[in-house]
Parts: sequence; structure tokens; C-alpha cells
Amino acid sequence: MLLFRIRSRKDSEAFGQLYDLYIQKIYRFVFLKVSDKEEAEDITSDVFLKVWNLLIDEDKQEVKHVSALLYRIARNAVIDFYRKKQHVAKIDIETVEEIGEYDKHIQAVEQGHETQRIFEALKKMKREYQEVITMKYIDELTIGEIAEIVGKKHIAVRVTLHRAMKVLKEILTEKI
Amino acid sequence: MSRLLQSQLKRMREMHGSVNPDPVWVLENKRNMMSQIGNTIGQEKKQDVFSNVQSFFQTFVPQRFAYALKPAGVVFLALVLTTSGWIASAYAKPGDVLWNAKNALDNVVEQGQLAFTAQEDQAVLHLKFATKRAKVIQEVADNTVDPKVKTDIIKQTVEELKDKMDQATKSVNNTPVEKSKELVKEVNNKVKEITQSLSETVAKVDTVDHQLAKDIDKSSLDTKQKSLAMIEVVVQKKTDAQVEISDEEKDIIKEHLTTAVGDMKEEAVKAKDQATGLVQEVKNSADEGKTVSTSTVSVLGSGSTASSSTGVNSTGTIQNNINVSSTISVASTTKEIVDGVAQTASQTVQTAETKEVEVKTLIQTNVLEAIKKTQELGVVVQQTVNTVEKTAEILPTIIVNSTLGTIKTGTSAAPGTTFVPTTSSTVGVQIKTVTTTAK
Repeated sequence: MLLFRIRSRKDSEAFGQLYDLYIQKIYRFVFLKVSDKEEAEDITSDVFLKVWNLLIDEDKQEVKHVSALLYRIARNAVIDFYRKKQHVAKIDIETVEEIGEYDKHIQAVEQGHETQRIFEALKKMKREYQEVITMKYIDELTIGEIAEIVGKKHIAVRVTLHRAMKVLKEILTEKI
Repeated sequence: MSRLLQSQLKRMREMHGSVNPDPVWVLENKRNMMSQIGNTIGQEKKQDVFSNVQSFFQTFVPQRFAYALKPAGVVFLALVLTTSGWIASAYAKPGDVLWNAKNALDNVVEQGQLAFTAQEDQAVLHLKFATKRAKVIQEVADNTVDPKVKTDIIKQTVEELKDKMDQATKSVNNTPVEKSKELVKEVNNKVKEITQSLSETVAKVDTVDHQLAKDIDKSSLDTKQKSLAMIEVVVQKKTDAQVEISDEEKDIIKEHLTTAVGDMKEEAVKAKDQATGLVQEVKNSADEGKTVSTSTVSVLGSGSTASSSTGVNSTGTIQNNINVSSTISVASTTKEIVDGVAQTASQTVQTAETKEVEVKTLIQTNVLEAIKKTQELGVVVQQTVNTVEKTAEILPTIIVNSTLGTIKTGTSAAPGTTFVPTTSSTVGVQIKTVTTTAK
């Protein structure tokens, strides 16, 4: 219904609600790829503006899932970002320090340490694996939605996800 | 391990400040973005209903479904249009745009009905269709539509009625002897309905369009003749199969023949009255000083000339004595011709009276012969009516032409051509004004 309101009436309020629903997910998705807080914020902001322009476009293209649209645009934005910057993904020391500062109370507990470890492991994985794990287990998207975002068939997404989890386990095991 | 890992991944969502955005930035960014998109919608026009519907479909109906639904949509639309058109045309009145569509649809429905009806029952169905046409003629005559449209529709429907009666007559051959009683009953009832409708229509139309009334009258006579032919086939088949005609059938046939003869007699009387009127008209013209007894007969001769020799021979068979001449060599006067037509009409009335008695007698002993006598009377009456009508049609021309001068007789001239006098006549007369041909 939000989508209908945005598309037919160019309802900015509806878009505001859409923003509230997806901002965290999209930011997280972008941040895990660019490893930079400011870049992630800029890209996320651009993603939402692009989605707005696309939704109110007169030559309306089909939008099956708005979440898939957001992730797809976010994914392309990240690809563009790397293409421009020729950036090599790595964990930013400052970001790690920021994480440390923000989550002092969480990291204090064992659980927090473990989560941090997984985050670092994710950063070491190839982009494709990183994506599917993020979308499936952090953002809890369905296989169908992921397939639509990455442009693959359901079965291919399942296989990729399976392999990605296997690699993640291996990285985490190595660390131990 | 796998499950633990999955739950740890899920917990990453709750890690404030690490992988999640700064809440302050989220709010700030939202405010900025809303301000930006607010500027874009300010310039947009309000969408119309069509765009809203389009958006609705684009949002809620997947595109591949939309593609798949397209043929179904076209079929649905066609059905809606057809159904609405059918409903609209079903209530169409004469002169309406959908009147022709209604007729076309009725014809299709009739063809469908015929396709699903056994051949042995089709005669009754054709009679039903003919009755429907008679009702349409009556309905149109009652309607306050443009007179020209009304005339056109009635003429067309009269033709359709004739056609349906023809088809009914042909279909009788397929009716088995066992179903003859039902068929005879149907013929009698339907023809009664048809002639009743047509008779009422004639009464309404006559004052407005005399010619149209005549056409309808002829159609009524034609229907009666065809009904006699139908009954004749039924009786003949029974006779051939040596199956006795039941009393009930006899009664129906008797009723039918009596009505037919009575109607024919009535037609003959009407023709006689009209002929008498013509005689009076010629007499009046003569009294006014117009020359009516010159060679103007040549004009009449090019169309039709009725002799006064109509009569019944000694065996009781009515002779077709209404001679039609296509030559101009007939030497006679207008007065003689009109007198002759009047005499013919008068004799036809007498013949009808005689035949009425004969038919009533024959029906008890020889049904087939009674039918034949009635049919013969029908032919004579129809010819007499035609002759009187044609005489009435050309009579004003004769009188007018006669005042122009003498026209040479004996010159061959086809109807529709210009008559060129071969001798020293004072005026040439274009014959195409009287191109009637007796049938």
C-alpha cells in the first residue's frame, strides 16, 4: 500500500514510512561492503533518493518487492562506489575504533566479542558471500527477495548461501 | 555451530554503532531527504483517475501476470461489449442505431435454433419465425418513427416474412406423417396470428401509405396461399401413405380453408369496389371533357391490358383469363378496359362465392380437392387484385395522355423506352411512366 501511495500520489509521507522501515537494513548492507561510516551514510542517502525518483518516474517500471528494489539499487551504488574509488575493501581501523567506542558496554560481554569476530570474518569473505549472508541472516530477507536482488535463481541463491556459510565457518574456525 | 552462527548473525542487527547507522544521522538524513523530495512533488500535477488505476495495476499486478492476462482481458472486454451490445440491442426500437444489430442477432439466434432442431420439426420453427416477423411489422407500424424508416423496415420485414413462409413450405416435406396433425394445427394457428397482425397493420398504415398497405395485404394473401400449399403437402403425404385423415385434422383443415376462402372473397369484393371506383373515375373524366376513348390504349397496352373474358368453365375450373398483352396492337378504349377490369373483379367475386360452397362440400369427401380449389381461387383473386391495382396506377396517366393527342398504335415500344410515333401524331409520350407489367 505504501508503494501504491508513493507511485500514484507521490506521497512523501508514505516514502518517509518506507525510509523508517528500511534505513537500518540498507545502511547495514552498504556499511558491510564499504566499511566506512561516512561513505555508507552517503551511499544510503543516495539510494533512497534514487528509489524515490524511480518510483515517481512517469515510465513506471514494475516493482515487485520494494525491499528488492532498495537492495538492488544499494548494491549497484556500492559497485559504482568501488568502480570510482577503486577501493579495496578492508576493515578501517578508525571504524573498528568507532565500533569499540560505540559498543563498549556490549563488547564487554562475551557475546559482543563473538559478534565482532563474525563481523570481521564477513569482511574477509568475497562480496557475493557477504551479500547473501547479510541479506539472509542479518536482514532476514527471503530467498526470493535475495534472488531478485542479485539476479539469480532461487536454487543458485541457496547454493551460494550454503557455500558462504561454509566459508564463514572456516574463517571463524581458523581464527580460533 | 550453524544455528549458533545464524543467531549470532541476527544479533548483529542489535549492535548499536557498529554495523547500524547513527540514530542522529538517520533522523537528520530523513529531514534533508524529505525536504528534497518535497521540492520535486510541489511541481507535479495531480494525477487523473486513469493514472491511478494504471498505478494500482502496476503496483499490485505482477507484469508477467499482466502479460498473461492480456488475452483474457481482451476476451473479457469483447464479452462485456457483446453482452452489453446484446442487452442494448434487445431493447432497440425501430429507427434506433441498434435496430439492425438486433435483427442481425435475431437471425443468428434463429440459425442457431435451426441448427439444433431436427429437420422434421423445422417447418414449425420457420412458421414461428414468420409469426415473429408479422409481429415486428405490427410493432413497427405502431411506432412513432420517421415514416421513411418505418416504410423501409416494414418492406424489409415483409420480404423476410415471405422468405420464412417459403422455408416453412419447403420444410413441410421433411415432416413425417405421424406429426401431420401437430403441423396442421400449427399452420392454422400461426397463419391466423400472422394474418391478424397484418390485417391490423394494414388498417393503420392505409391512411398514411396506401401503397405500403397494399404490399402488406399482398403479403397476407401470399401467406394464406403458402399455408394452403403446406396443408396440401401434408394431406398428399397422408393420402400417399394411405393414412386416414383424422376428424380433428379435418376440422382444422376445414376451419383453415373456410377462413382462407372467406378472406379471399373479401379481397375480391375489395378489388371489385376499387374497379367500380375506376369506372366512375373514367366516367367523371369524360364528363369533364377529357378524351378517354382515343388510342391512349397503346400506353396501357405497353403495360398490361385486361380483357373481360374471365370466367369459370363448365368443369368448374377457374381459367386464368386475365390476358396480359405486351403489344400495342390492342385496339380498345380506356373506358372498355376499365369496364372489363370491373367485370373481371365482379366475376371473381361470384367465383369466390361459388368456390366457398364447393370447398365446404368437398372438405367432407375430398380434402385434397378442396385445398386445390381454394388455392385456385387464391390465384384468381390475387391476379384480379393485381390487375385492378395496375389499372388504378396507370389510369391517371391514360387520362392525361389522352388530352395530348392521338398516338399511333401498332408500334413496338418496350417499357422504359421513349415512344416514337411513326405517323403524324401531335405528341410523343414517354412510356416509362407506365412500365407496369401484369404478372
